[in-house]
Amino acid sequence: MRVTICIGSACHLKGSRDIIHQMQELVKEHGVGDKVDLNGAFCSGNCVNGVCVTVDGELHSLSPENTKEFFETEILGRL
Amino acid sequence: MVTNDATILRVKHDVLYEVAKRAWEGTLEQTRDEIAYQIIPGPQAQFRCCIYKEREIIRQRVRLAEGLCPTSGKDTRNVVQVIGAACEECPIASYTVTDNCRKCMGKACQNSCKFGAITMGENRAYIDPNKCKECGMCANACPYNAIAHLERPCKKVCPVDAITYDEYGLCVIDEDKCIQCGACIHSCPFGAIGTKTFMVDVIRMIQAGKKVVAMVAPATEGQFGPEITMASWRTALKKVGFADMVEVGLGGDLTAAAEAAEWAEAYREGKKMTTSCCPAFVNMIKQHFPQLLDNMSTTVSPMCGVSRMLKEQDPETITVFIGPCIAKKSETLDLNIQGNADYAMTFGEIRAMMRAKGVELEPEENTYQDSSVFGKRFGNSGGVTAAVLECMKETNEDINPTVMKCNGAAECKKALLLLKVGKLPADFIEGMACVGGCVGGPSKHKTEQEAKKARDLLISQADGREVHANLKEKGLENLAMHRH
Repeated sequence: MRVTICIGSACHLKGSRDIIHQMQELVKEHGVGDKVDLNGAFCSGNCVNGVCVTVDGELHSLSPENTKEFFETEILGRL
Repeated sequence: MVTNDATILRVKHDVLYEVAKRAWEGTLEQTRDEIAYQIIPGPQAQFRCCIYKEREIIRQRVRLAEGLCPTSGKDTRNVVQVIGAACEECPIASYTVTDNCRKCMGKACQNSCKFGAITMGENRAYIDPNKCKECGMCANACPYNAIAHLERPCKKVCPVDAITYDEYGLCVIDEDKCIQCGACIHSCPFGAIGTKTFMVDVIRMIQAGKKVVAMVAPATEGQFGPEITMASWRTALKKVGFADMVEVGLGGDLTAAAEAAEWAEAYREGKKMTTSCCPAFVNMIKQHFPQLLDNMSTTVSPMCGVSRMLKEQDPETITVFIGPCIAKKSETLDLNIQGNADYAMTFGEIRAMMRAKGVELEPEENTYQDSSVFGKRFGNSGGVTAAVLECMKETNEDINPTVMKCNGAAECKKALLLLKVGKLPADFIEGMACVGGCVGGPSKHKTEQEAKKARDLLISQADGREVHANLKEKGLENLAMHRH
């Protein structure tokens, strides 16, 4: 599964590094490193709502607060 | 040195400069549309059919400079991108009969063609493109060199055959094959291939008051003459707003020490391994030889090593790599590796960013040194091997492994093929996708030969500290240096 997180400056200031760190830890914790491929992306200009995260091409807006829940439902839940 | 790309480089730099200047001033949003008119004032076209095409090319370059794909609504993930408006659709027909042909009596070309593609035209032989299979027999058979092998320059230099065309003959990059090495960028006679940049992001991070630390590539020394030292870089980068600068040669020391331990263990197990510091080489393994992933060293790159060190000292630090490399940008996008650099920039991008703030690299005494000479030489072909063998010597490893030093992507590919079929004669592979090593990178300022004298001089001024002693003195012996 290809997960893409925006690393542009706007998303960075909204906490994308925190989200990336949480995701990296969650992937490790659940031992799904061989199934989940975490990628960064240049800004695509969709950053008004929150940090841009795409899962297999589908766009979501995240914040550091809802990352864990998102990971459990949208990523683990789809594996 | 006279090169054919001076005009293209000037245009590219002008665009980067205009974007950087507006980003620093905070007016990019409101004034980005003015850039095309400023660079192409008209009314006479300078390079293309008309000023409207020239301006559209500038607009697409501005988008790339901002990190976007050149055409709105066509977002793809590749770092290396085709600037569609700039592609002049060079001829694809690859074997062409030239004026040298006098329709000689022997007609070896016609006789050598197995596909009946060659007939005699009015003045010279004619190759039917629909029948030609591009085998090259006719060109080899002609004793008068009258048949030329024309290949698109971009396609010719691509080591992984990632360049294709659309139905109109426009260049298209096959992103599943592209290893982001950047070889095609400077091959194009129209500068129609470029890369997304993080320049505006880095400027915004500095403006937001973040602690942004620059990490300058080992290939840097010598690139800007004998008087521009690492101390010159540090001063200039601080003037622009970076909190500090560290030479990535120190990461070379970190990587060499970790890789030496890893290789020694593999050697005893009889397992062959490859280096993992060149991101284009890593991409080549991942995308073209996935069955060899297990043979790739798990040691992270020097860039990642220094980034981890800085983030361990202060987790809030934003790390920015600066060097001659394009593929490093793709390495920063691999988030499966923890603690790697946040952004990567080329020499051209950072210089535009500096110039837009009125900062230049000034001569300064060569007083800054964080790395051993071995780490500094990581950017030369053979440098990684030399550093790893030095580390083995320092730790009294009683082994003498053989290393195949692959200088450039073509040699890398050959060695990986040999490893894949179990016929690699050496114990290890040093993979560098650019000829000469990082010093021959696509975004180099001077060629390896031009920079050599200055580079040798600057590195000769460094002290002779050992790799392990250097890491120990800096308290870095236990820094985590593996992928997971």
